[in-house]
Amino acid sequence: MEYLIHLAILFSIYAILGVSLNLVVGYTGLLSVTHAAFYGIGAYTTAILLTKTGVGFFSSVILGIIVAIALSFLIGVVLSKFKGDYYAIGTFGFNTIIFAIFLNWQNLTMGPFGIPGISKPELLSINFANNFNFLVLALIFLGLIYFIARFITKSPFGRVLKAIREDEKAIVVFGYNTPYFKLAIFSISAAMAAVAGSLFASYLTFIDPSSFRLMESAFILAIVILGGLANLRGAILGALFLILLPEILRFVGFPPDIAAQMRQVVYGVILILVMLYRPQGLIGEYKL
Amino acid sequence: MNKLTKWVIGIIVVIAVVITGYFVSQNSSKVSTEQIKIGVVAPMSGNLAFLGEGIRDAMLLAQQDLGNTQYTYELIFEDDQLDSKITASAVNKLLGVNKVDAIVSFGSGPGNVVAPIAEQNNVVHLGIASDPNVAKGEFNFIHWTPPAEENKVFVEELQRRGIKKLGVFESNQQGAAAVMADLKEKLKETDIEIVTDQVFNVGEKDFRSIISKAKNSGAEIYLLMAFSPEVEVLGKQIKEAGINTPLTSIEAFELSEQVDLFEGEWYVNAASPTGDFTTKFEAKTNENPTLGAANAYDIFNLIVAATEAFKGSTKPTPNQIANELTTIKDFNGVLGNLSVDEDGIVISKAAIRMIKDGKPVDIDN
Amino acid sequence: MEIVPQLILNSIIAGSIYALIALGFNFVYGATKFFNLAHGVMAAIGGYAVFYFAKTLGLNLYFAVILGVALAGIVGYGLDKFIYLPLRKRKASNMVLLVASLGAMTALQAVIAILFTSRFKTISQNIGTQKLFEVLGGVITQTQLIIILVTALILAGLVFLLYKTLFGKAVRAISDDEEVAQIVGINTNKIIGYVFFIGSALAGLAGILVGFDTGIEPTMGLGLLLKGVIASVIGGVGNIYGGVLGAFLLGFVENFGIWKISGEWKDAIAFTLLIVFLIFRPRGIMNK
Repeated sequence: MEYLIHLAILFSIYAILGVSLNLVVGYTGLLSVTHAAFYGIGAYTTAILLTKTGVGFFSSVILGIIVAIALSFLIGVVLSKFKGDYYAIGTFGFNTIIFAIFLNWQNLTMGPFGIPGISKPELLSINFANNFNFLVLALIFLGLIYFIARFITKSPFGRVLKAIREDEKAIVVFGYNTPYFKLAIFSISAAMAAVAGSLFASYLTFIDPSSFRLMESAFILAIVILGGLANLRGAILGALFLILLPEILRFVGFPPDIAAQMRQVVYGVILILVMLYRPQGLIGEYKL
Repeated sequence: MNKLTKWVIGIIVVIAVVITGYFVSQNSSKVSTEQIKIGVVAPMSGNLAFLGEGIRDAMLLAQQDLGNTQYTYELIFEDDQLDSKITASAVNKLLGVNKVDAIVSFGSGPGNVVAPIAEQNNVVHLGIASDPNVAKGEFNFIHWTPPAEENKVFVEELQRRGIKKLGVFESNQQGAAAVMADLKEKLKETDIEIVTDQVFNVGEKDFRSIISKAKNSGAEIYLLMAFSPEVEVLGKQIKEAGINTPLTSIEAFELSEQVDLFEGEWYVNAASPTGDFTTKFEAKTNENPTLGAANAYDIFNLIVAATEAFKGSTKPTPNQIANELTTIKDFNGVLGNLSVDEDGIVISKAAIRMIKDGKPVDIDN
Repeated sequence: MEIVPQLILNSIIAGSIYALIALGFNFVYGATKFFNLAHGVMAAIGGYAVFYFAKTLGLNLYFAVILGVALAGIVGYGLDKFIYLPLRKRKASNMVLLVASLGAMTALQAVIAILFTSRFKTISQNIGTQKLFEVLGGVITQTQLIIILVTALILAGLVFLLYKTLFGKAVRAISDDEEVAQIVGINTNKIIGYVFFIGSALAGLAGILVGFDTGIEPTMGLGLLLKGVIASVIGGVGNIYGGVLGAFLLGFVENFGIWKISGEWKDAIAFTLLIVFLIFRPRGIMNK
């Protein structure tokens, strides 16, 4: 049971990441591979505040959001100029640079040592050290973010985003300042990723830079692509699938000396098959 | 999206969840009274899979070498790719599904993830990690020669040889950084100076430019604070740069696949790992023992020793295993004489060794 | 001894390795216009093939190298035939191809690890006893000299192939516009298959040379590929000369960068260079 609760918590965290990244990749059509950077910003903000100051978990979430927005604004200003492949390659760069900062700004982040002893949230008299309570908390955050994302996509703002995706030139003709829209959605998405990071840090009680490298961004992107582009439920489905798949494969009974590598093979083959037969993802509404 | 697709997706989701639930419940084992289950969490895929493979082979070897015991011991290995979230999943799987009695983890990062979970679930956890934080709590132990112990021996040897200028190549990861932080403190009290300190990231294979930077530092010896494979590539590129300054290391040379590179060099290592273990490991795998493999072998035997020491009609509870572990003194491990201190740290000694005729040997001072 | 001459040499060595990867990558990109992430794995395949044929089976070294290069080419050709070609026929976008290649990379990497374990291996026989040459006040090994020469030869060979042969003419036609090329009677799918063979074989050769210089591991491809991609983008993606130019620029910036900044920032330096280029000269040095 504990195992299933644990998987459900991980799922909630990655569903938040998937939903938020879908706003950028699916709805606006910008292939961002830097989501783990903002995920890390949230995690590090919470970790540092909870271990070094008296700030509580919920205040640290707010501060994490603020830091993520500030940083995503700086990065987004640069990124808003790019399109397509170049946008993706640019985000590669930012993820690597922010990862290098997590790893090398030792006075603040403790570098390769990581930060242990992060406390679990407390609210009124509810103890979130209990995993079930933590799951409820994570699901509440997921619900909140899902509805904010839904509100955004159904709003006129969201329709402009989709128009940018379909034909940016045309919408510029109508007088829309598209870099402003791209920047705004990028920052909103980053803020949501920071929330997931805060949850992650507090749940594991330990973080180190290795959780926020480029490959993690690729994993989150895979959630969105697999589940479904421009479909919020798709991102949730993708998170469910990619969090559960490796765990199910633990039980398949590959010979122990190749089991772990076989999982990678299966993972790779599934990505290829999805691209071949369902490039919009399981329930997506937009093809890359 | 049409209705049909919706249905299909819905069914797929339900099936996926049911399958997971089924596997979890099917594989959930009954708590056996005779069998002690040891879950091992280590990287078995990804960049550092060779380390996890070494740990696995060492533990299987220890299991093979086991004589007559009161209880039987089962090993269950789970991959964590050295990724914190997967570490947490692996531990939860071992606890929830396999109902393990003890957990072994590899690396300080994973150790820090496992420790609070082990404490919360009352399960013995032994980490192959240098970070003392991993040993916090009643159920957590670590088996790694403490950096302070290694550095003490290292600094004494530097002084004995009259070395005043030390050059350092340092891998940017937890194990190396822990040793270096302690070493820098220790060197403050001596007249030994670090004349150059070059840091590089794990996975780096091109050291030529940091070697060029260090070349004119006047160092009398270079400390290679890195592990295989970086340490071999580094050693090779130092030689290729035409530098003949002696090289030394803490831990790394002994585990090198290309010991020849370090012929004649002295280094610090956990006290006398018995040649026996190395021979057996090589016979089993055709490879040298990897980083932490000897520790893994010892850990298996420590768990066995603690469990067997408990005399009772049923198998001991984790609480009792933990208690027994803390009383272990002068245990004859492959990493020398081991004792467990009150903080849960398995104390092993460090010694100066050297590579002679392609084999690591002790130096008689 | 002065450090600068050695740094220049180091930059040239690093640049040559990046150039080898960038050459093959750009050659494929030129014809297909997508970021083939599986390109790096071809390097690992080449390296491991030589390891197997020369060290395990004890075949003649030169013969083993030829086999390794051919095998990498064949695997690349196979990827095109079974994955990329069907995707192209479905008019899949660049992003879909990119994700599919990520899947191929993950799976192939794991297969290599299953066959050979994931331990780092060397394929050079003479460890640490290589001939050293003094050039311009710096030191260089025989292998590194060979790497530089091979890079120059391959560049010349590719230029000849592209600009002096009928095949090259067809490749350039596809590069300019695949549909037009088809209309004038070029069998584009066949030509692209050959392009994949040649490009992958070049990556295999790069992997073999890196194997002789340092060593091989299943995951060696990704690091090489990222450097190759950076080199291609800053030089001008799809442009043969651009890739080489970008590779050497990257080599110089990295090696001179860590002269003044500590070595742990090397990756961050490389990606900062990339982002600077994306901002100020997004089409690279060579492209307009």
